[in-house]
Amino acid sequence: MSDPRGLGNKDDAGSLARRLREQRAYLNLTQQFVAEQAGIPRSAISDIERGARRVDSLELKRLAQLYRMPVDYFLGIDGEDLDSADPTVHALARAATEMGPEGKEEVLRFATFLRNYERRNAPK
Amino acid sequence: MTTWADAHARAAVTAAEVVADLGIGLERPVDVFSAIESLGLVLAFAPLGKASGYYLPGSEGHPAGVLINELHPRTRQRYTAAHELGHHLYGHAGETESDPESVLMRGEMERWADPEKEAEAFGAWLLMPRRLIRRGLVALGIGDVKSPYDVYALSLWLGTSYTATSRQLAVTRLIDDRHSDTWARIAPRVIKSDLAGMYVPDDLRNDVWLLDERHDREPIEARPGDRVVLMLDETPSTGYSWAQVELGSPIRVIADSFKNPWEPRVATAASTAAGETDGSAHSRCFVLEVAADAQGGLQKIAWEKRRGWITGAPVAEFALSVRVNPSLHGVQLAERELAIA
Repeated sequence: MSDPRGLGNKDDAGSLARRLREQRAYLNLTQQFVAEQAGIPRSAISDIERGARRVDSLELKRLAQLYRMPVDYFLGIDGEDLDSADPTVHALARAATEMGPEGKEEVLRFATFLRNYERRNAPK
Repeated sequence: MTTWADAHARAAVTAAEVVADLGIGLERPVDVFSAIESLGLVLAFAPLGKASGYYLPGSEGHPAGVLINELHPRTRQRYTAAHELGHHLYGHAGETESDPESVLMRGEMERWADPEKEAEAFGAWLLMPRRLIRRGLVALGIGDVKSPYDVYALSLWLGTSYTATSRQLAVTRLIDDRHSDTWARIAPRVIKSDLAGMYVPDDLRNDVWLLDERHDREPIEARPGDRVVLMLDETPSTGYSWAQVELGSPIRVIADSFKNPWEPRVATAASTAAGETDGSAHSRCFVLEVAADAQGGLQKIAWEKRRGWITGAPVAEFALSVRVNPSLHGVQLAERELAIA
């Protein structure tokens, strides 16, 4: 089966698994919660994060929606794909010239998350 | 240009409004992380290199965020969080920041840009309003602040940095500017070395807690690697001595003056009151260490004072509760707030 987005490539698959794992940890979500929200069995989430099972594009879309990140973030190479994700984020990245590479990636990740996150309930 | 006096005057009012609006009781240190969440911002922690934190303004339908360096000690994280909240409340644009702690220590405070002054002053007043400082001094048994050791003890109680506490004590007129400036320039590691001597933490970013019997059952919030110097009254000629009866496993005794005579280089209120004359109460001194791999949660350690050969009720007891702060990573939202289904 052809795979134009490169999900079948071994290195990319490892990177994808790592990014999914890290983003779940970043949001402090349990595998059980992710499984319920994304409609994917918990054992499959575990396998996906270990790189032992492929993610189909529909599953990836649902996970990206839950994780409030663009699908491209999970498919991209480290740190290269967030700058252009959103004009505000892009401006922020340019403004933050004094950030080290690590700080910059983290600020972009958080800014992207916030742009994709809408509060369902008003805060207390 | 905003002067520091202007910034502090405005910050005192704004911080008092936040405290009132959120119903924060000033009986204990302010929980700034909860305050940020209650005000509708999203709080997150990540490794940020040299930066302390960032404020990210919100946009329509999307909340603002505060990002804190996850590798900094909790006291510094709290201060950064309060500073970033100041940017939010004053409607500042998001911006990067320098290292406020080092600037505070050097006293180069006039060089700050106006928004940084305003946010910094707000952070100080949110975490260290005069009423809370007074409450801390009462809890610590400190009448007037007379030494950098008092400032350091107060900073541990407040959960704020030593340097920032020294500055805020002058702003709130509890010490004069001259003492504040002199003490703010003392590196905290010097104070820690005086308190713990050869038992100073391996990593000098860790803290040294000097406690005595007045702290019985008062929990402290410590970090893995922190040391506790505990001084308990003991008069050898009476035959009464302290023995450890309960020990939280992540906390271990690394020194006991009964075996190796040793005491801090600092006169404590207890030793001063006792007069240190022969036959009066002497202090038994323990140094404890919170293990580097200690997990989050409350750890309890206890002593009893009794004559070695007599069973029955002890003549005195001392319990120390150490709350170990877990390290924080990522976005601090409850799972239900992230539900999409």
